[in-house]
Amino acid sequence: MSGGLVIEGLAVTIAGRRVLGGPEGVSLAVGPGEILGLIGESGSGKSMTALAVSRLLPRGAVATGAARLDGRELMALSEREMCGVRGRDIGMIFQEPMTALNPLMPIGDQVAETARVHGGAWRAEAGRLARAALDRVGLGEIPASRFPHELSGGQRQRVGIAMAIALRPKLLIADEPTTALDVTSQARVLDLIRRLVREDGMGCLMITHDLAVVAEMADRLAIMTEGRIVETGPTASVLGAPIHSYTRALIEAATHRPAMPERARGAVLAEGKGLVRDHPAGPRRLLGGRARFHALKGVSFELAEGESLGLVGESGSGKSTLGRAVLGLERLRSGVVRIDGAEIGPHARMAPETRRAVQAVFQDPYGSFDPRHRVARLVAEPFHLVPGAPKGAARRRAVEEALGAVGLAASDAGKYIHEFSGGQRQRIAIARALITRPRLIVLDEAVSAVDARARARILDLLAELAGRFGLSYLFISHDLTVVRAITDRVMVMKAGEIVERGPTEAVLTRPAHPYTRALIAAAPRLETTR
Amino acid sequence: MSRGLVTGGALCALFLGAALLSLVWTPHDVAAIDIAAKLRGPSAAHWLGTDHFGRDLFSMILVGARVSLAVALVAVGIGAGIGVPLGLLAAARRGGVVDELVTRANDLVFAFPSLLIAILITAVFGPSAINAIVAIGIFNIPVFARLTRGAALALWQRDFVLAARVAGKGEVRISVEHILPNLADLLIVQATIQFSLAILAEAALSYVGLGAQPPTPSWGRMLAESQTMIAIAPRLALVPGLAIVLAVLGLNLLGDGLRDLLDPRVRRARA
Repeated sequence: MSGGLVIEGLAVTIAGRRVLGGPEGVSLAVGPGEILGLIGESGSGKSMTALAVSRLLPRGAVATGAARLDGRELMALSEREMCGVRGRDIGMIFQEPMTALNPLMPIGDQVAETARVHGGAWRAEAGRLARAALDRVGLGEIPASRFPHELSGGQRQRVGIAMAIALRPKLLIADEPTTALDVTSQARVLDLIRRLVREDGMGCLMITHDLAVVAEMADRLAIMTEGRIVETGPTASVLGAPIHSYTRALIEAATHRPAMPERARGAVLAEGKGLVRDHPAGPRRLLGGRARFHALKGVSFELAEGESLGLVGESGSGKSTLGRAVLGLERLRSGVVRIDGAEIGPHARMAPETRRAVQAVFQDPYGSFDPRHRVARLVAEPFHLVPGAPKGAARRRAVEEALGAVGLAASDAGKYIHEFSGGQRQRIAIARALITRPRLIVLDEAVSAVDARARARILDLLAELAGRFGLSYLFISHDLTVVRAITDRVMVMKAGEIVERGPTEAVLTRPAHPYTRALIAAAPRLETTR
Repeated sequence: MSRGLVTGGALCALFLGAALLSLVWTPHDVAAIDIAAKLRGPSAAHWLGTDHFGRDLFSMILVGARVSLAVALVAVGIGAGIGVPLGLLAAARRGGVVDELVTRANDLVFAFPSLLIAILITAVFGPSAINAIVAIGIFNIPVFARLTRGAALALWQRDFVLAARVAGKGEVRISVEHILPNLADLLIVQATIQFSLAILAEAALSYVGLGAQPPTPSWGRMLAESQTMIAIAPRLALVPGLAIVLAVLGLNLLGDGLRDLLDPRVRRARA
């Protein structure tokens, strides 16, 4: 029997019925020292496959089929025996570095815990093991006595990795390990996983929705959709010469460039001058007030009518704050935002005319709708701003028209928001933004939480709407590929300041600022392997 | 539906039925004293027997249910009616002066043992059912204010509230149209729990003679009066005591059941 993980005909059912997002007869193998990228969109069954292998399925779910690790049948083990396997033979890395760690436990103890549970190691011995594991993941300078909240997101994910590899498992399962991280931390974490896999000769099942993430590190790829694996093979051949139509669609979507209409730039539509926004940070001191964190340090910008302006930067750079300032939702310490010459802000008296000229689409397709209202009411909400807004049948028509513009059916108006997928919800968000016929839409990470194919379609939609309604966009994103596809000009933001700005193509191909260069170098690319 | 919810609902229905029935019919006049028929055991004429004044115990339990229900309903109404808007306002102005005032006032009220202050209020303004209601109601305000504020704060961080602000809606409209409906589950559950606490509080106040005044029967006072005769007529303590236990148990079961039923996470798992 060959080593590594072998899965044969794995399926998950609940009460005898197939489940949405459950594997239906999945077979795959991960050899020692090999990285297998398991790619699929949300609901494809990729996470459930990993949970079934580690026997961590939710209560009531039953896995059938075979999963062998180094010849040992995992499905036949009792829960007690399985506890001996998890952590020692199988290490897992989770998506959310914020919630995967116990906030009240020093990181050293959390890493040592694995060793103490399995090796029966003594406290001092376990502590040494933990220190060694932390050193291996590049946290050599961080004392083991630190708590999770004292670390950055990338550092926390490293602690998670240290826990997973502390006992040198045979198999490492990484479920979207870098989705919650910034591009630069993502690149470093991916490098780290690759190095650890090579050093320890463990197999690695790398689960992700993002082809670009695994393109540069996986040895082989398995493409999964609707509970089945449709294509598997060496990375270069799957990406270079995909056989299955779904694989081709995924690759096309990941590199999709919407056809932005050529438009003449008009007068200045939105501008900001010397914007400063700060929050109190740290404890209140007796004298001298509180230390303040500056989210915006005197930012100025201009956005012309008919222009699509990109805003890129990592989390905490202040890009969302700037977006909200343009929407008049931030209490600025100083500086002014003008829309079409009229000053806006939470304290400025804004004419509804100005207010309705700027609408927004937010990141979270799940959180940006009141779950208790029907779509018709959700979409019509901004009518609040329109004096003499249409009522009755006219209002219904306006809602249907907006839904039609984003490619949804008129009948969708009567449904509740939980009946829609993430991509559809973002379309509804765009419909809501369109209904007051705005001139500028602020898109804050509007496609970041959406699967690749849905993202490509939304980008096409945005390009089409820009031409049809003469819209301008302020497009905030951490994803350089998307920004490149949809914006004319781009601003790069770091620590509350704009460090570089210019035409998108020029900035991304010939970056002048070192930070922009670092961002571009860290961004995962699909093209390099083609 | 869970067994607890059904049991709770049945007990509450029984309680409500007894209160409503007492409005139109009781077997005997609760104020009719018949010393000759005192301390009789259960019979066809007196289903639960009579007390030391010869009053019909079953009739007294029915009217007592009405008094408990009225006190609890109005007291929880006062608490929610004032507490929820205060909580919404505090959350809308989070970090501001209003928020600080509401929170500190809450802490102040919480700092005092509620029953002690209720006794103080009824002692100052005279014992009566109305004063008991007001006293219990006041102590329900911070419970609802704090709960509303806490839950509303989390909702204010959600993107759909941001979207409503982009749509130009003000704090009041957002609070009424988006925050309050999303809090409804939580508030309904809390109301049933406060309701049972209010019944207990009324019984406690009546027990020390500060609730409903004679001849209006009250479960709490029935308990107090039976105390001296517990050796010769334990039934007199048992019956109102059981009534209180069953009513409170029913409301608590109903509250727990409703929480499970209304919790969207549970709801989705079931769907």
